[in-house]
Amino acid sequence: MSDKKQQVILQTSDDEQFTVEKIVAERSAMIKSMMEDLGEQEGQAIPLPNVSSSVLTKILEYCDHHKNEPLPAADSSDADDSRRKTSEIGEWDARWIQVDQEMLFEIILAANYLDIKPLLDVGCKTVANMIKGKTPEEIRKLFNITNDFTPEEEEQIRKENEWAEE
Amino acid sequence: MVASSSKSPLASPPMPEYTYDQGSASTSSSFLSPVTPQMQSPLLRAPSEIIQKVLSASGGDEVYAIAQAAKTCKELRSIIYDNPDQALWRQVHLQHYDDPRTAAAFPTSRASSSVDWRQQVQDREFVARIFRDWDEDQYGQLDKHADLICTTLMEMYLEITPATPSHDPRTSDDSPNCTLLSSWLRSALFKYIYESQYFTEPEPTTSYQLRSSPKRVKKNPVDPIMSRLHCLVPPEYDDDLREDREWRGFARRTVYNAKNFREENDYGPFTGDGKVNWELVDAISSVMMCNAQEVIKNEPTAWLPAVQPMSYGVESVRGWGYTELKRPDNLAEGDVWDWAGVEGNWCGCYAFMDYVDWVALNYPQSAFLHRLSSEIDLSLYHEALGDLMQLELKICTDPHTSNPRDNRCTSHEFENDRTPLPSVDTDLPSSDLLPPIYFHGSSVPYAGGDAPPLPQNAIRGVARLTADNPPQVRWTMIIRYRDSDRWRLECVQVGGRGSKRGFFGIWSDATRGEQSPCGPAWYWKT
Repeated sequence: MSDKKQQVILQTSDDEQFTVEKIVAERSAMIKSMMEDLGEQEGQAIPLPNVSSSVLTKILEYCDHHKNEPLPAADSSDADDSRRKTSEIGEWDARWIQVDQEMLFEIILAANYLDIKPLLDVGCKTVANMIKGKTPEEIRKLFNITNDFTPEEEEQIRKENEWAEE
Repeated sequence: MVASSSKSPLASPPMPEYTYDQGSASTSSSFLSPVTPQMQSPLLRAPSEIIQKVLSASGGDEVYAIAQAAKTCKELRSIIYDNPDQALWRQVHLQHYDDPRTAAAFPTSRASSSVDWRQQVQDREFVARIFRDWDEDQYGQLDKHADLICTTLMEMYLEITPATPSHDPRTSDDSPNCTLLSSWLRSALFKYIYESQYFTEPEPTTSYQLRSSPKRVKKNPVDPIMSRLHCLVPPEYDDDLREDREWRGFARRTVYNAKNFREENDYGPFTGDGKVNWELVDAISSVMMCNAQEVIKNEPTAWLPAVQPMSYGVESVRGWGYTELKRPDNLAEGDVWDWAGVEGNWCGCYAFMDYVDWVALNYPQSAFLHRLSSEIDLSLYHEALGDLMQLELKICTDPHTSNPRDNRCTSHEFENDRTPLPSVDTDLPSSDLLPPIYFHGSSVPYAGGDAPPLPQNAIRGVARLTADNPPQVRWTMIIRYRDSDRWRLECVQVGGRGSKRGFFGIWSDATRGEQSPCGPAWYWKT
C-alpha cells in the first residue's frame, strides 16, 4: 500500500460516478463485501442501482464524518435480540439528519440497502422520535396516513389497546 | 437536487401480503377488512421490516407509542398485532426488561417461542402505569388488579438475569427488572396491596379490644406470591403508626408461635412436602430486618455488617441462578463443589422472647397456672437480640460417599467419642439437582459483643435444595456448646444461591423437648 489513499468508484442509479476514499465507502458493509469480491480491480465502478446521486451525496457526508470509528461487529445471528436500548442520536448526526420526510425515508432505505447499521439506527430512531408523544390523529397527519378503520373496527381497536390506556 | 419520490427506485417496494389468521385465538385480526396500500405515506411505503424497526425504536423509547401507532390505520395495526413470530414485541421487550431466556431462577433456559413477549410487555406496561400514575384515592380500585400486579412482579423477579460471584451490587445496573422492582416494591401502593391482601378490614375498636392485644386478622389463605414479593426489599416500618406496629406484632406472633414450627415441617419455614412456606419466611425476614433497622438507627456502627444485605433493593436478592450449573473444571475429583458459596465469612444474629413471655404466648393455660398475664401485646412488645456473630464456615468432605473412612473430613469429626452426632439430615423431600453441601464452622462475636467464641467444630450444617420448582436453598445449622447440641436452625436463602441478603429461618432447641422455645434468625455472607 502506498501513502496515496486507496479509492473506490461508486455508480448511482442516475449514472453518476463518485470517487470515494475506501475507508469512507467501507462504512457500507455491502460495498465492503463487494470490494472484497471484486478484488483490486483498479477503476471498476461498483454499481448502486438502488441509490440516487442526491441520496448518496448525503450519505457520503455521514460516512466521511464517521470514517475513523470502529466498524460495528459483523452481523451475528440475531443481532436485534442481544441489543439493549439503542443509544441516543449524537449531536452531529441529529443536525445532519434534519431533512424533509421524503429524504429521511430515502436515507433509511438506502442505509438498509447499503447495510450501514448505525445509520439505519439513526434514521429509524429519528422517525421514532417523531412518533413519540403523539396521538393517533397527530401521527396520521405527520405521515400522511388515512384512517381506514370502520367505526365498528375503531371500537375493537380501542379494546385491543386498553393495556396502554390512561 | 432532491430525489423525487416518484422517480426513486426505492419508492415501490413489493407490497407485503397480509393474511388473516382466523384459526388463532390470540390474534384479533379477523374483524378487520383487508388492508388497502397507502402509497401516499412515505412511512407506509417503506418495506415492513423498516416499519418494524421504526416501531421497535419507538416502543423501546416508550411502549405506549406502539399502541398509539396501532390505532392509526390497518397496516400499522397489522404489523403490530398480527405478526405471529412476535419479533417486534421481543425487540421492544428486550429494550425494557431482562431477557427471560436467561432468567436466573430456572434450571432450564427457555426457548424464544415459549415466551409470550407481547403479553409480558402489555402486562408490565399496564402495571407500570398503575405504579406511576395512581393516587391514593384510587387505591380502592386496586383489588381487581392485585392478582395481575402480583403475578407480573413475580414473573419479573424470576426473570432477573443471574448475578456472578464477583458481582458488585453497588455498581450494578445491568438488570432493568431489579431497578423497576426495587422502586415498585418500596412504594406506598405495594404496601397497600400487601396489607389489603393479607388482612381483613380492621373491626371498629371497642373498649374491650383496647384492653386486649390489638390483633390484625389475617385473611386465609394469603397468596404465597404476595408473601414472597414482600421479602424482596426490607420492610418500611414506622414505629409511630399504629397500623405498622400491629403489623409488626402480627409478624412476631407468627415467628414465636411454636405451632408454626413442628416436626412435620422440620421446625422450619417449610411445608410438609419440603417446599418453602413464604408466609413464614416473610414474617421471619420482616421481624429480623425491622430489628436490624432499629439497631442501626439507634447506633449506626453497632450492626454495620447488616447494612449491605439490606441495601441496593432487589439487587440483594439476586442470586447466581440455575442456568449455568456446572462443576468447575479446575476442581479436583474428590473435592466438593461449593455451589452455594458456603465457604467464607458470614454474619448473623437471632432474636428471642423472654422465656416466660414465650410460654405465656404459646401455652396460655400453663401461664395462667403460673399466675402470669395471659395477654401480651406483641405490637408493643420488644424481643431481645443475641449478639451479632461472625461465622467462619468451611466445607466438609461428603459424609455420605461410598467410602466414608477414606473421605473423612479431616478438620471436623461427625462423631463424638465414636458416637455419631445427631444427623443434620432431613426427612422432608428435597431436590437432587445439586448435591447437599456439608459444612462446619466457628464463631466470634462482632465488635463489642460478649457472647462466647465457639471453636471450629461448634457449628455444623448442610446446604441443600428444597423440593420447590424452581428450587430454593435451604440451610440447616446445629450449634454445639459445651459438648452438647444446643440450637438447631432451619433457614431459607431469600434470592437463592449466592444472594447477598442471606438466609432467614427459625432457631429451636436442638432437643426439641416439650415447651422448648423458638424464634427467628438471619445470616448473610460478608
